[in-house]
Amino acid sequence: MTDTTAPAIQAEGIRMRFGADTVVKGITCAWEAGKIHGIVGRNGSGKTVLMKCICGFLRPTRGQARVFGRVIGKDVDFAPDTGMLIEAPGFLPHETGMNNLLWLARLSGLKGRERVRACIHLVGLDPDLKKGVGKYSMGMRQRLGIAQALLNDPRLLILDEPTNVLDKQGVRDVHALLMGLKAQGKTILLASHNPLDITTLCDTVREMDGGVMTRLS
Amino acid sequence: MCDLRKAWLCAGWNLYTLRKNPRFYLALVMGCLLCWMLTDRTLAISRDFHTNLQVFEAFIWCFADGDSILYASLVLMLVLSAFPRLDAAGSYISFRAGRRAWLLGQVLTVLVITLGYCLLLLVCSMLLGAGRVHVHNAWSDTATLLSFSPGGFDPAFAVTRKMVKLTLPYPALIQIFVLLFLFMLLLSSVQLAFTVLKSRQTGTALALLICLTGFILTPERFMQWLNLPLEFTFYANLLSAWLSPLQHATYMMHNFGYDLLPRLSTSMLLLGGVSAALLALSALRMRHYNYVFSGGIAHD
Repeated sequence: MTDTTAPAIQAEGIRMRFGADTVVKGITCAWEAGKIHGIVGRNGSGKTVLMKCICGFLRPTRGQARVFGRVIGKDVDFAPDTGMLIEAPGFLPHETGMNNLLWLARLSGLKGRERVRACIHLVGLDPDLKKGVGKYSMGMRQRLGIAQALLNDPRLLILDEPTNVLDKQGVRDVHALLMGLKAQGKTILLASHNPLDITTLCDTVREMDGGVMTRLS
Repeated sequence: MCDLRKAWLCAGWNLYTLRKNPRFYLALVMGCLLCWMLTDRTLAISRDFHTNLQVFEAFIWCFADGDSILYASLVLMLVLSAFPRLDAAGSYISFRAGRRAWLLGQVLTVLVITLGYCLLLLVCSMLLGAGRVHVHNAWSDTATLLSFSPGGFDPAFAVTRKMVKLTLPYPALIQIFVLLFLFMLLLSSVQLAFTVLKSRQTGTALALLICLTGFILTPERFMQWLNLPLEFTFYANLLSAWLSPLQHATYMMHNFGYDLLPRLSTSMLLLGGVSAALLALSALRMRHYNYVFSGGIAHD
């Protein structure tokens, strides 16, 4: 049973070094459950690395991340009950979006195709589209990436620049989707360069610069 | 149990990605061509002298020889160099499966591909000899001709009097198949372990280095390096048989009860043991592995 009063995500002194380069410099902070939290910052400021540490892709050089009270890398390999979109998922180019997501769904223990179809619908794509993902536009691929993050109806979403390559309508659709998810009580951690994402969606905003995090609002 | 199901799914996904991988089809074609080229020496004699063959003999005479094992392994490396997948696609799969299940999936992939490839070589060699084969557990007239002919044939043939006298086709087939499989498994394990420990380039380079030792650590080279006279060939054989991984996989370089060469069981234990140790090392390293991926479309 997870403690519902605990923050959804806690970073406890996370430090990440690649060789001589310290990309994240001892970040400690907590993100409350049920809200949309934004992280802004220049390219190379350490946002993606921090998100990868929280998800469990990278093991911090020092410190640790907790998601729903569970220590990543100790209690669990990867963040539990979490959907994520960091960079873009490397979909198999010759397979349809449906096939790509079906494999991920099976690994998440989801049976049948209905949930996959629903997620693809939710992001405004056609689940019956027969062309391979390699022939999708960047925006369609990004939408499919969001669909894969939603597959197992996670309580936490970690999204790294989800509206990056979307057109205006796409951005509006994603905003509406994320607001809907927030209304359902989901927690969303969002990194974005798009000021509209931050002002429209986020309850709290933090800025990262040179591997250090400061609270903006 | 859940881990095992996820591991099989990871392996299934890996194998599924091969469907559109041209390297996979190239390796299949090259494996068949190689089999045809390597077995043709035996088949040509069977054709020329109108002698029959035991159904597995083409495979036995071919893969009892170290060079054939080496060439076949190099072709297999073409497929296995695509694994483990640590790109964005592989990372997203790993995120859902968990690190342990994902690694187990990679091991299963390697086992399935290696076993499948060995079976392909076996079936290919059987089909190439079709028409003049028998299935009894007895050596054919071709084997008798090759091993007991006073004039002798090409000394490169792995057919020897020792083999024909000491064993029968079925046990020989099993032993040669297991040695071939274990040598290929060793290469795959080296590749997997060092990809996880260091990088894909290191993994592939080390697997190729093991192949290279097969070319280098031969009895002839030991004779040359140590300036041994011909009567000391036995010592060169001994050094090569114990030091070269390839010679451990070579049926003829084993002790059949009267010398100091490694026994078949010893070599199988060594090849299997080192592979298991490398896979265990990968499992340990995997717990702390950092996935460094960038997004985009996967190359399948």
